[in-house]
Amino acid sequence: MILAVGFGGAIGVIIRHLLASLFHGLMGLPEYVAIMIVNITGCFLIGFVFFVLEGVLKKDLDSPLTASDLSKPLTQRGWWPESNPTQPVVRDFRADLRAELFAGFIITGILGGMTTFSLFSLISLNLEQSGNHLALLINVLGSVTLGYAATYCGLLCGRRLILLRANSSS
Amino acid sequence: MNMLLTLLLLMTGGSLGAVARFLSQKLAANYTSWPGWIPVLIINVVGSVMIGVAVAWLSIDLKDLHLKNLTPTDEAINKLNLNDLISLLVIGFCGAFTTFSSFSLDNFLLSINNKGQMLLNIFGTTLLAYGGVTFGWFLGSLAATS
Repeated sequence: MILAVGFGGAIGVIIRHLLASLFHGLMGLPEYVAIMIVNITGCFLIGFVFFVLEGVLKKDLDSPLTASDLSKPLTQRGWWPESNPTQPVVRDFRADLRAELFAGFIITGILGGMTTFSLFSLISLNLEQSGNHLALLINVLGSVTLGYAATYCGLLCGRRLILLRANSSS
Repeated sequence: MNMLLTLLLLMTGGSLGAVARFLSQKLAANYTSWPGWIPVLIINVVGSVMIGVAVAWLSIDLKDLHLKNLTPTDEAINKLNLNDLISLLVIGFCGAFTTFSSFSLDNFLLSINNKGQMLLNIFGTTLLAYGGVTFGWFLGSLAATS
């Protein structure tokens, strides 16, 4: 399990490094934009992977996500536990060994290694110190809101995929 | 600097960081009853402090001091800037230790059921991480100049 996480983390860091040097070095975008793009891509992927893994691997188990009515809008209540929103889901999600391995490798390892908060805050500090307040504002607001939107899009796309799978198999 | 070595150092730091995050989350899940976003918040803030310390500390020139202690067998390393060597490891570690994707996923899940905690997560993480990196920067420059 730890090996899977560590290996995924190494891959994620490489992906981030390559993407960041592509956007920052080759395309000449400012560094904060490069990190922002990488973070937002990672947010989209985590939403997508979270839903797909849950839907594909946990069919046999009692999952709050797959047991829900998929035709309802995502934001409607009823498919998510009322209290303590994240932990029970993650715990249930990790109950299955395959799901646990995949989640550890892809979500905790690759995506967790790919996206970063420390560089985000470091770059924010640099922007503030260099007096570039507009870029600071764009960086902080943009990362948080676009990251949120990207996660939502990822979850929606994952759900679409699961629905397509369910329809084609029935 | 050698491209391959750069990637190798980032990878080493990255896998250590990812494992450290995984173990901290597991620890928090086993020994506390916190909702899942609190460990992620703490991890992000701690990682920000660390990167602040590291970058401030390492940006002061320690290169000559370190290079003198190298053994002759370290020819390969001798050609490199040792500052970059350490900072690549640290950046790899902090970068993988902290995570933006889990932060965003938590925000979304919280926004469905618990908007208060979502706001707490968003403002808490950004403000504390920003404060953390400033504090880390201050500590690191103190350590480097004293």
